[in-house]
Amino acid sequence: MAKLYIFGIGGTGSRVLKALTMLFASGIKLDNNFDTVVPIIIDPDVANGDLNRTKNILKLYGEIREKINQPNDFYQQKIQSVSNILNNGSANTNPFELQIKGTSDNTFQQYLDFGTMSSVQSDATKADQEFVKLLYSNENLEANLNIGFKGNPNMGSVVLNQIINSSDFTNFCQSFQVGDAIFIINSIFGGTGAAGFPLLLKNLRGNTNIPNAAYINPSIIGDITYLPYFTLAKPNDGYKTVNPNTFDEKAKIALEYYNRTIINQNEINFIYFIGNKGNTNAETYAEGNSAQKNNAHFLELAGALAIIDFCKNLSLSDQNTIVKEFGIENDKTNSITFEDLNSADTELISQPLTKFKIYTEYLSKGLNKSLNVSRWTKSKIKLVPNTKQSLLDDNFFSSQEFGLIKNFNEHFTLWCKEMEINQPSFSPFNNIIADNIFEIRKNKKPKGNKSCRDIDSENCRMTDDIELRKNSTTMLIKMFSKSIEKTAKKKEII
Amino acid sequence: MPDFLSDSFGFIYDRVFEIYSENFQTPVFQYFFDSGFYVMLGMIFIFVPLLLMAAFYYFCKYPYGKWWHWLLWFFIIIIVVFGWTFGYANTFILNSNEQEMITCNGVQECSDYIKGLPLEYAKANAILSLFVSFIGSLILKRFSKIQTHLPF
Repeated sequence: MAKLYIFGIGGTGSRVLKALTMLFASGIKLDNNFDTVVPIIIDPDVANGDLNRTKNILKLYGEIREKINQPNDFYQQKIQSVSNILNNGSANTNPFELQIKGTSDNTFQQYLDFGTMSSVQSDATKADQEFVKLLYSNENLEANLNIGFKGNPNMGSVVLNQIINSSDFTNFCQSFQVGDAIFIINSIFGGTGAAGFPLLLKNLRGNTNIPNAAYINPSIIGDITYLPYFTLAKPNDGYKTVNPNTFDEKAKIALEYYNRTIINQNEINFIYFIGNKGNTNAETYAEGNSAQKNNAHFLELAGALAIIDFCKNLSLSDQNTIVKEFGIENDKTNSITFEDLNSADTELISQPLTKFKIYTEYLSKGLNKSLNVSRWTKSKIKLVPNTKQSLLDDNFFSSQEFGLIKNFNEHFTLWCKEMEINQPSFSPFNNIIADNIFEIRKNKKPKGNKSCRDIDSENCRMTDDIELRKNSTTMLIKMFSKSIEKTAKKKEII
Repeated sequence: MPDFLSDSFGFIYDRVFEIYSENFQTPVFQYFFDSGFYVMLGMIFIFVPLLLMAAFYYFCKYPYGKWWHWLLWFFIIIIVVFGWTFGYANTFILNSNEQEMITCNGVQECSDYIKGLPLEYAKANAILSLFVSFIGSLILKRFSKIQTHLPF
């Protein structure tokens, strides 16, 4: 059994991790015996909306999964933080984050000790100060680091070089074992990701002073680099520090650098490139902080697929870097559905995502009809032994335990919705009500009854199944996974 | 037909429901006893409710069953038993080849009495099926997958 460490750098890193978590929730699992995924988010912008949303989703995933006895479909992939692996999880308040020293409430010039340089009025230090000013503008120097690098990789390259000095990075190294692999997610057109990837890779590959360097340096490493795939809407007072018109130029420069120093040097085993031009969505302008909460995008789902592909094809790795790109079968600007993906991706995600979507839609729209009516929601049935009473009664559905599930499902629904309204739109599902839940999947007409009735019937049949009756969450998750699979197959929508 | 079945069911109809007249022991009631008529009536009030209740508990896939669905089915069973019993008794008595019973030895009072018997047996069986349905329901529900929560 091996672990896959995934470094998500910057806002894009967080959003791809979110997409991957949604795929795991739907039952997708990594190949090649990767039993545990260890997300590590690197983002100095600690208040970033995307980062916090992803952290919340990862936390919810872990809490739900912990309650499921031997998950074998929904939530089957284990996600753990480094601190959990080292059994000091309770001590870490931000378990999935790699904290960078000196970035909280410091300006960039404070971080560089720029002021100290100027306190000694010698010619040499003045020269240092002038040299720094050649490399960084006044806006750069005065920028507050706790909202990230605002699209400036030249700042990020200095700050992120300190990653290895953090205790979180040391913990990561200590938890690393033979057979584990590493995957890095970064964008090339922003600040944090573009700068963070080469620095992180340099340390992982070449730094012999880190703990477990003998395992980490030669390990298999993959990366997905995002080329520009969205733009920013122009605010009324014009663009400030982050200008989307520079995205392409930054990407070209970084690509040239990556090609020279990483790909040609075979520093990495797999590198995936992904981007989109021409029909991109314009996100609301934000310079980090909680305002930076971009809508989920189809390309982030594609990034998550790259991670799955990486684990599947690990054995193909050799001396040379393998470069991959992502494409779809039908070039559509609007409404990409499962059928527009290549057949392998369709096969991989269509069934699990459809099942999970039915499950979330059922719990939000179909439950009212069965709650306290259907046998599978009743626990005080007279003249029936306890082994036949449901564990999923109205007490459960109003409990905190179910609150976690509901909360996660809301994130999933929002994730689907955001991908649908984004450009290009990924829209494999129809909007449904409880009475036509099986019409959920576009291009697939269900056979027979379209309502939730058959799911409820199957749930009733499974209520006494001893394998499901470990606890309420286990029963809910496993029962729905089975009942939806059976009914959806019967209706030929998966 | 085993005599104990005829005895048992005969007792229920003759004594409990008092559908018996000593005046017509022959040719009517003795013939009922000898021909297995009581046993057949007994089978109707036992097996029809049990089979229909079993159908409700084991073949009905509708997952939103409420107590009034059960009650409706309960009344349907009673009506079926009533109708079936009436039909059977009517056919048995009036279409019987047993001339002695049908003609009642020419006694008009006896003929009138016989014509009223199917309704009496139907009423008795309807009441009996009510009990069988209810008790059967309490037993069968334990093994049902979808309707185990009904009637309560």
